Order: sequence, then C-alpha cells, then structure tokens
Amino acid sequence: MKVCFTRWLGIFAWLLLTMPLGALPAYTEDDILRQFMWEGFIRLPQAQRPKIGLALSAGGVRGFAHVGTLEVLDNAGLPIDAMAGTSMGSVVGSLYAAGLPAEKLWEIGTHITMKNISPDFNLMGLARVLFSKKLPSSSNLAKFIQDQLGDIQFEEMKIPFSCAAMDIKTGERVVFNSGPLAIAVRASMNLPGVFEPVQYRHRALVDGAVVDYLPVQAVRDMGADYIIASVTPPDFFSKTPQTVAAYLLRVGDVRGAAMIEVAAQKANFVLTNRVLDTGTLELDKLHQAGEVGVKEAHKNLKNLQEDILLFAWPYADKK
Amino acid sequence: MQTKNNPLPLLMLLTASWLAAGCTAGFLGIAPMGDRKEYTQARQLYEQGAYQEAITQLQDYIYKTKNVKRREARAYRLLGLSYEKTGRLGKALETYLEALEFHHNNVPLLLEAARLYQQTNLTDRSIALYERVLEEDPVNQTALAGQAANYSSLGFYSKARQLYDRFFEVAPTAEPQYRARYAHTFLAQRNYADAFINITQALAENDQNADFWLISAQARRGLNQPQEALADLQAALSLEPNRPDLLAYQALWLYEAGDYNAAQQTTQQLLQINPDSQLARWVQSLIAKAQGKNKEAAQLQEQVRQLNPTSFIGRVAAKALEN
Repeated sequence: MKVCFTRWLGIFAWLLLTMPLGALPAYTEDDILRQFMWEGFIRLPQAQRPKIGLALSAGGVRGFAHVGTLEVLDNAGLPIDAMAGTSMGSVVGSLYAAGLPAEKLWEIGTHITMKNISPDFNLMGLARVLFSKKLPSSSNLAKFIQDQLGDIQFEEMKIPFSCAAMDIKTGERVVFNSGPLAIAVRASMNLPGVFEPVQYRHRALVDGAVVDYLPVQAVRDMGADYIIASVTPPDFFSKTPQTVAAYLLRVGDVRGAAMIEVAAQKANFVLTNRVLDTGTLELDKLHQAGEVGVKEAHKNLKNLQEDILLFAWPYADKK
Repeated sequence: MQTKNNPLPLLMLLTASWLAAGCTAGFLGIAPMGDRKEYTQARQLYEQGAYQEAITQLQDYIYKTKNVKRREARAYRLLGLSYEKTGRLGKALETYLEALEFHHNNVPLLLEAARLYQQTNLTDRSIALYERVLEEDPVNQTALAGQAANYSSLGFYSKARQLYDRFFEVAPTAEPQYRARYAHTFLAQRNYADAFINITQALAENDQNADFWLISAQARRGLNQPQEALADLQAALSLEPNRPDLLAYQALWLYEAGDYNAAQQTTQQLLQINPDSQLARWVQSLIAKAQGKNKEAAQLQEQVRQLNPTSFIGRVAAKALEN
C-alpha cells in the first residue's frame, strides 16, 4: 500500500506542485449551471416550488452531526419548510427551527455538560437512585432549552417543527407539534433506562428513538414534498457495554439501525453521517460529530442540489 | 580551599558541560561543529537548483555516518524540500514524518508536512498537524491561513472564517490572495456584503487577477446588482478573454438579463474554444425558447443531451425534453 501511495503521489506531484495552496475553486460547466439554477430556485416563493422537509435522526452525541448538516444547508441557502427531529435530532432541530444560527449551535456544543441535562448526576442523585430506586431526572434539559429560546411554543417556531416521544405505558408514538416546546424536546430525548419518564399530558414519556428513530413520516405529514434525511447510524465499535444503562442504549441503537433502514427509503435524499467510536453520552465528542456532519453534507451538496433542481422541474425553469 | 586547589571538580564540570552541549545540540537539531560545512554545501546546491545533488549530499549527511547528532530538523527539512522539487512527494512526506519523530514540535517541519498533506488532499491529517503548530504558536500566520484553507475545502466555512479573522488580526497587510480567500469564505456563507468589502480590498491591491473580479461579480449578484456583476465579469474577461468558465457565466447572466444577442455571441465564443460545450448549447436553447423558436430549442436540447447524458446539464436537457 505504501509503495502504491508513494507512486501515486509521484504521478501527481508536478500537477499538485503547480497548484497554489488554498486556491480559489475552479468551476466546471455543470457547477456553473447548477449555481445559476440554484440561485433562481432559492429565491422562488414557497408556493412556486416543492415544499422541502428535513428529518433529523436520533443518535445521542452522534446526533450533533446534524449541526454540521444544518450549517452546510444553511450556507447553500436551502429553504427548509418543515423539520422534525427525534432525541438529539429534536434538540438540534428545535434550536435551529426556532431561529438560532448554526454558529450558535456550535457554541452551545462547546459548553453543554451533563448538568445541562440532569440535576441528578451527583452524590444526591446517586442516593436517589440507590435509596428511592428512582432514575435520574432530565428536567434540566427543558430548562436548558428555555434558557436558549425562552418560553417558546411550537406555533412560534420560524420553521414548522415537530418531535417524537414514546408513551412508555402504551408504547404509542407521540408526535408534538403544538404547545410548549421545551418539555416536548425533553421528552423526545429522555433516554429510557437512563432517565425517569417525563409526566406530560397524562403520559409517561421516554425517548422517541424507541419508536421513531428517523422521523421521515412526521415530515411527510407536515406536507413536505421533498424530504432530506440526516442520519447518524450507530457504530458498533468493539466495546462491549459495561453497565445496565449502556446495554439499554446499545439495544436502542440496534433497533435504531433497523428503523433507519426502513425510514430512509421514504426520504428523497439521505445524508449518512458516520460518527465513529462515539458513545451516546460522550459529550466531549460533540464537535467531532458536528464536523462529520459538515463533511458529509458538503461532500453531497452538489448531488443534493441537482436532485432537488431536477425534482422541482419545471419550477426551476423560470424562463 | 580544597576545591580551589584541586582541578578535578573543574575538569569534571567542563567535561559534563561539553557532553551536555553535545546532547542538547542533538536534541535541538543544531548541527554539531564540523558538520555545518556539509549542510551549507547542500543548502547551496538546493539554492542553485541542483536538487538531486542536494538530496545525495543530505542523505550522506543524515544517514551515512549513523551519527544521531546529524538528525537535524533543518537538514531533514531541506531534504524534504529537495524531494518535493524533484516531484517525489511521497519521499518528501516520509522525510518530514521521520524528522517529526525526532523533533516532535518543530514548527517548520510541522508546517511543511501539513502543507504537503494539504496539497495531496489529505485534509484531516493536515488539520491535525496545523493544530499542533497552533498549540506551539497560536499566531503562526502560515498555520492560520493553511488551517483556514483546510476548513474551507471541507465546507466548514464558519470555522474557516474564524481562522481568517485571527489571521488578519496578526497579518492585516497580508497578500491580496488571502483577502480574496477570505472574501470567498463569506461568499460561500452567502454573506455578500462582507464578501464584497473584502474582495474590493483585494482588488485595490491587485486588479489584474481575473479570479478576484469573478468573486466581486458573484458578490454583486448576491447583492442584487446584476448590471454591476456583469461589469465586473467583463473586467475579468478583459484579463483572460478566453477563459471558458468566465464566458459560461457571462452567457448565462446575459441571457438572464434578456440581452439575447450578446448572450448568443458569448456562446459562439465559448464554442470556438470548446466545440463540445454543453453549456453553450444549453444557453442557445434557452435563447431560442425565449424567442419562441421551440423546435430549434428542442433540437439544441437534444444535442446537449447526446453530448453527455450523465452530466448535470445533460440531465437537465433530458428533463426539458420530457416536458
């Protein structure tokens, strides 16, 4: 391999040496027409083009890759008319749909800790688990969302948004798209077996990833004609789970992988963010996950734009 | 008093100092006395363009005597640069990486390796090395600009922009091409106002670069100034009249402005340079359609499709024919 690599480098050496570092991009004819048509497309009023939806999968810390996805789509000026997210997808999606710029999401990713999710990851919390046999609460997550966005309602979101949770008593999928946002997002990311169920609207709610890992259908139900799915599939790296909670999370991931396969088929375009060697709650790896999202979206952006433009025809052909 | 009369401690001290100096020289990558002449010769050969001779000299210098003191950072760096000059990028990279095993935090070596990784599109590795440079020297201009270019190539424009922000704090009068790259970062984020401000600064220093004029034109379009954009594009074309991408932009923009005659002329010029240009024919089909010549438009679209059915333009033409 090393020999081949060296030879390859030799062949292209002169070509590369003549290329200035950080050179401005050179455009092909395809690039130029795509740019031209895309500029026209993103300026069209919503009524004159297909409604575009974005589904953000669950995935714990891996789900922070969606921030990278959103940054790239936002830079491209992609109009997003509907969004749905599950678990981490609901956290990232809700903040963006409420109007926070992608750069603010990166900043949040730098400062977030387990304290922003649960007040019980301390000695008192341990005592609570041991003596009253209660799981930790995820109440701080709702407070965290409120700190970022205030007491915002779904109806006030800049981009129509929904998120899914599951009623642990009935096994039903519960989709939230009205009322207070913060508690719904908390319920959507309320990992079963890790946090106690959220009591809301006469339901005991746990993480929506159990029943709707990738909410493509929810976006379709919001009226989207063209759906982009941002997916963060599990990476079954060689670590064997060591705790009960870790086993539960692994089972959730295995189920999630199966659900992604089914749901992704209903999407028009899938961005698969392969975030490797990252546990569900390894918050120190949020930025790495986000960078995976940037790379994946950037790598696929041209194909995505072309697919949308051809899907949108004849809308894109104004003249 | 005993110490004063006994020369042994003084001799021991001198011996220890001499040994320590030798070791330190080795670790710091400083040439021991006597070796400098060979290095200087290699350097002269390199400067004279005798790269192969410089390589031979440096290989002898570093490896032949198996003297670890000769594993100097500067010798490795010069060897790597000589390999690069002879087109052996793989050998150059191996040289830098080997040198970094001995001189972990040597900034010039890290910069060379990072640059070479960047040049060969191994961006992740380049990022890791520039990061190490910035840990050693947070205001290193080469690392800041290199890292910004890396993140731009990954599409991580917000991070690239932050790095350029830092770069221009320490190098406000940097070469205009850096200002142009900065402007391009804003353009990629659809921040047309800042893109225009920065490219205008770059053009103030160098108005003989067609790429700069193209960025200016693109920023103007984003600012909804189509006529000014066409004027800037014309400025680019006056510098490089036969550049196909500039002509392609001009054909499309003139068509969009409704100036069909001028657009048609541009497509002809484009076809002279590249007879297989799909885009030129596509614009001609758009013009024909806008002028009500639907049959001619369909014929041109068919030509576009046949030229390359799998390209984006080919697929657009096929879609147009379907409709």
